[in-house]
Parts: sequence; structure tokens; C-alpha cells
Amino acid sequence: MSLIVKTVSRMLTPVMLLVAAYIILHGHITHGGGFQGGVLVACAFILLIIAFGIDYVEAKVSFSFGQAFRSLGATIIIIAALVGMVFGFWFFKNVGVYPYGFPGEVFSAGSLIIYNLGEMANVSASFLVAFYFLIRFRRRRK
Amino acid sequence: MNFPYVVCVFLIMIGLYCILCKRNLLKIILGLIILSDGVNLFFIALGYKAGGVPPILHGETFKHGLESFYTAAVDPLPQAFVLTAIVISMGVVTAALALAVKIYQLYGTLETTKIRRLKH
Amino acid sequence: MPLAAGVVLILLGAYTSPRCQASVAVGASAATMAMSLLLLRETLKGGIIVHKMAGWSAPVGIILVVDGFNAFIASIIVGVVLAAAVFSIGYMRGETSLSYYYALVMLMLGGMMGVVLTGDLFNLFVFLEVMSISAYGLVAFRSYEMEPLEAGFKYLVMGGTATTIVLLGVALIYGAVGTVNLADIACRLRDGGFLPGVSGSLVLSVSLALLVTGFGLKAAIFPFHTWLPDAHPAAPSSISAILSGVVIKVGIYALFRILFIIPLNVDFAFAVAVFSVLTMTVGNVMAMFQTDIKRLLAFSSIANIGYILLALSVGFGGGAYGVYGLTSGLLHVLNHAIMKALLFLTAGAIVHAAGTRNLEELVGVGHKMKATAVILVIGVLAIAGVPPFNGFISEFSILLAALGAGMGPFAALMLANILLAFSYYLRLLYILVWQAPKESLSMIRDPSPSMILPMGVLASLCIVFGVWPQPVLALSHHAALSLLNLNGYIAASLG
Repeated sequence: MSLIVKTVSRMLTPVMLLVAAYIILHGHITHGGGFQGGVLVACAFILLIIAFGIDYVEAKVSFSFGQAFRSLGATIIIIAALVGMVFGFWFFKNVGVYPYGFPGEVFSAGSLIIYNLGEMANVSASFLVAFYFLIRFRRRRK
Repeated sequence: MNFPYVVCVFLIMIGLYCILCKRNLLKIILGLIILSDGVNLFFIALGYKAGGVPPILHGETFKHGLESFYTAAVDPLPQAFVLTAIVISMGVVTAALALAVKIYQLYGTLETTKIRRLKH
Repeated sequence: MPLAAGVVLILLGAYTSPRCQASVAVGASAATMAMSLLLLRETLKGGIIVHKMAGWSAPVGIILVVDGFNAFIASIIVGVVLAAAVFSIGYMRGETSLSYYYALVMLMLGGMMGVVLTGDLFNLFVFLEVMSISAYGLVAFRSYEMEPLEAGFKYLVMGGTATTIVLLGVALIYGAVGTVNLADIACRLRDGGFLPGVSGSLVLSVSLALLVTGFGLKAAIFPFHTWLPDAHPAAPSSISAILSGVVIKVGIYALFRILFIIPLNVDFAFAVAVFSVLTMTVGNVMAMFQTDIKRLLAFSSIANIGYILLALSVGFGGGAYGVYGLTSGLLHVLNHAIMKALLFLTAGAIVHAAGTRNLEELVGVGHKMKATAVILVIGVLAIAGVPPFNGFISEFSILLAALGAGMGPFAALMLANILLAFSYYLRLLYILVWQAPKESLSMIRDPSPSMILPMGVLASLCIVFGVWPQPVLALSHHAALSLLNLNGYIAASLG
């Protein structure tokens, strides 16, 4: 890719990750949440792939790391849900072991933020893995 | 008022047409996408109110009172449903694309007329 | 009530398995089996178990509702998946990327359990998709061959269209009634509580048509059956057993549930009966011409779906014979799951050993695989409806129920179909077991014990349920009664 694309995407990627972090951490008080933030994280990496090529990105975030990260996200969600079950009887129950805080603050909605983080890991990693899979095919054909 | 529904029916018809009549795997996948988008749009249109506000509680809604908020806000449930449905259709499309990639690797073509190893 | 914890285990097994091995899969399904049997025992006492996700009660929150009908179907599903998982330890040895295989099986199990246990129409759709996506992946699992890929793509396009149609039906119902909770829908429809400005009967019949089309496509009812004979043979045999044994039953479950939740004035019984007869005839006639052993079994699955549908249409008639028809239909769901899983596993063992699915090259294979041959004979005789086995009981009672409900012509057609089916099952036995073996098959031996074990268990179940059918009859009778007990369902879910 040309120098312009490379420079712009180098500048843009940290901003995208920052916005993604904002969306994820404020998922329970504003629009968005783990899924939207996760998509944004994956988009940041996909932008890097487009600008610098698959080899550059895959050297930093490998295929198997993506798989592991995805499983990690799913496991986080399950464990948080089980915590709800253990302390509050119902699966996914939002129980009082987390700090409650005031409405509008970041740490205010109990377990929601944990779900958001887990979902972010799951979604971003699965998007990235799917993209890797489809790109690898192109590379093999060359 | 009925305009969104007309568009939905139109999209669904296009999607069904693509799935049934096209002979290229990619076009069939595109038909699937258009079909599910039509249904999603229909679901969203169900929850819409003319002049509605986003169904999110924040400082100002508390000031105006919750009653007016209930009547003004659009129905949030279809939006949650459609978000889920979009994720699911993304999964289906990813699976379909992966299969199409594999088929292309084996056959070297995406035309269904040339991919006929199954008995009929 | 805490027994509903079983559900958690399914989700856990579904999620943590990407790195797990066969033992984890078998362990998880065994534990799920134990949980669902506990659920079944609990519901037999007459209770309906409700688990509220996150503690929100219906109709606001998502709930899981377990009554006798649910628990019955769930136990069947887990049983078949458990048998297939044990079988695949030996069967899938030597395949690549097995962790994906077991992860997909667990996901499919989780999806099926979700469809069956949920009390929410939209969740039913979501879990249906979870089940279907993993099923597509499993059909196309041997992605280095052409046939599985092609069959998988066909299955994917048809299944994806079906689920989208289901979603459209759900959207229409939500637009008309304003809720997606099954019990709440039933409650509001009973009271005629449509949202203002909705012409209820029109929207309801359209959405019901869409839902029936979508679930019918999943269950391979006649005009939508074309994916099944491609997809089921192309999958690995353990997966064929799951697909044919229980995945199409999930579609049947959804049909049963939806049609009894949403009352309609149209004469549904007649329409369902016509489709059932068409389905069984097409399945049986096509099965007669097959030279591929797994393809033959797949067409016979379509025929058996026809029998179950006939029982459903008898059930619409109401009255004592309606309950009897539903009972026999549910009994046939159980029996067909056992028999078809058994047959596909046996066929898988034969194909695994011989390396071909063509009947002409498998002549006399039973002489070389003695244990498999015995099991095969039991399975084929059971599905053909020979008296001492379980298939006879359920097919005969469906016939009796249809006769008693005054559907004589349909019963006669079903009898003709059973006789027709008998002919090709006998041909299958004649080719595989009776004739002298071919020389090309001289090196074949019986499969390993881990493959024989689930087959043996299923075969002995065939005999046990045939000789001593009272317990399963009582179970399916209870399931039919709790399906009809709509008021209890509403009270338990909303209460």
C-alpha cells in the first residue's frame, strides 16, 4: 500500500483502539457494548492487515493466539454467569459481590462490565480469526 | 407509513430470487444476506415510532419524568433481537464463505452448473 | 428446582471445549445425560421446572421451562449424542483437527438443548441457529472431499433460508401480540389480546405458515426434504446418527410446541395428514432405488418423519384418540431416534471397515463382521416394524390411533408404506448379511470395542423397549399430556 495509507492507518489504529475501549467500558451506561467495541478492535487489526500486509500483523497476533483469546472470552462469560448462579441462584444473575456505585459511573452495573470485556475478547478474536482464514486462502493461491 | 414494509418485502423477494435462481455460489450467499437483511429491517420497522427518541435513560429523561419517556421512546426489544440476528447471520455467512472457499480450492469454479458430484 | 442447573453444564460444555479432547466431550454429554434424566424424573412427579435467566421473571426476562414433553425430548437428544460421542472415539481416529469436531458436537448439543428447553420464541430461533451452524460445519467436516462440501453448502443455503423464514414468523408474532414468551403468547391469544390496529387472524395465520415452513424445512417434511439425502450421508457416520436421530426431531419438537401454543381455526389436521402421507411415500419410494447404504437410511428417515407427522395430525383431533395419537407419535420419536442412530452407527462401522458405501460392493459383509451383523439385523428388523422390537409398538399404535380417530384412508396409506419399507429393508438384509461375501472384503474384521459398545447398548434398548414397552409408553403418555396441558404451562412460566 502507498505511504499515505500506511501513515494514516498507523495514526488511526491507536485512536480506534481507544474508542473501542471507551465503548466497551461504557457499554452499560451509553450506546454500544462488548460486541460493538470488539468489532472496532477487530477492524483496527484488519486496517493494519490492509495497510501493512498479513505477514506483518500475523507476526504480532498469531492465528492460534486469536483462537485462545476467543476461548478466554467465552470462559470469562461462563465464569461470570456461574458466579451469579452460585451467589444468586439464577444463571447470569447480577449479584452483589461486585461494587455497586452510582448510576452513570463506570463501575456501576455490577457484572455487566465483565460480560462486556468477555464479549469483546470473543468477538474481536473471532472476527480476526475468520479474516485470517479467508486471507490465508488468497495467499496460498499465489 | 407503510414505506419500510414495502422495502422489506422487496428485499425479501430479491433475496429469495437470488437464492433460487442464481447459479453462482457467491450470488447465492449474497441472496442469503439480502434475505436476512430484509427480515431484520422488518423487525426494526415494527418497533419504530414516528418521532420517537432512543430508549436510553440518562439525566434529562429523569428531569422530564418517566411517563413521557415511555410514550416517546421506540421499542427497544426489536433492536436487541435484530442485533442478535445480525450476529447470527454473520456467522452463517462466514460459514458459507468458508465453504465456498473450500469448494473453489477443490473445483476451481463457483458455478453450480459445474459442481455436480452428488447424485440426483 | 436446582436440578435446572443441568442447563449450565450444557453451556459450559459448549463453550470450554475448543481445546478439549474426546474424553471431555463424552464426560460432558454423560453428565448432561444424568442431568436431563434427573429433570425427567422431576417432571414425572407432575411439576414444571422454570429457570429464570438472571432472575428476571417472564415475560420480561428469558426463562427456561421444562415440562414432561421437554424433558422427554431432551433425554432422547442427549442419549443419542452420548452414543455418537462414544462411537466417534474409535470412528474418527486418524482424522485431523479433532478438537474442532468435538467442539462442534458439543455446540450442536448445546443448541439442541437450548431449542428444547427454552420458553421463549426468539431464543428458540437463536439456539436453532447455533445448532444449525454447527451442523453445517459437521456435515462439511471432511473438507478434503468434494461430496461433504457440496452437501454442506446445500444444507447451509436451505437451512439459512429456513431460519430466516422462522425469524420473519417470530417478527410477525411479536408485531401482532407484543411478546415472544411462549406462555405469554398463549395467554394473550387465549384472551384475544392483540395489539391495537392488528388484524389478528390474518397476521397469525401468515406467521404460523412461515413458522411451519421454517421448522418443516428443518424437519425435512416433503417439499423441503431435498437437503436431507445429501447432507446426512455426506457427514461422518456418528454425525449422521445425530442428524438423523435427533436434529430433525428438533424441528418436529418446535412444530409440536408451536402448533399447540397457537390456536387456529383452520382444519390443520387434514393438511398435516396430507403432508405426512406425501412425506412417507416419497421417502419410502426413493429409498427403494438407492444403492448407497447411508443414502437409503436417510430416505428412510424422511419416511419416519412422515409417520410422526401423521400421529401429530391425529393429535389435533383431540379427545382420547388425540392423546393416544400424540403418545404413539412421541413414542415413535424415541424409537426412531434409537433405531436410526443404531443403524447409522452400524453403517458407519461397516463403511469404516470396508471403505465404500455402495451396496453392490458390500455384498455379504455381515459374514466377516459377526457382531456388527447381529446388531444390524436387530436394527433393521426393528425399523421395519417386526413384532418383538420397538419399532412395531410405535408404528402399530400410530396406525391404531389413526384408525380410531376416523382417518381410515391415511391409516391404509401408512400401512401400505410400512409394507413397502419392509421390502427394501429385507433387500438390505439380504445383500449385507445373507449373500456369500465378496472376495474383496476378505480382510474386514469387527470394529474396536468403543464402537461396538454404543451400538450394543442401542440394540439392546431396541429389544427392551420392544418386549417391555410399558415404562416408555407411560413416559410418552405423560409427555403428551403435559404438551396438552397448556394452562399449567402458562401458570408455571408466568407465575
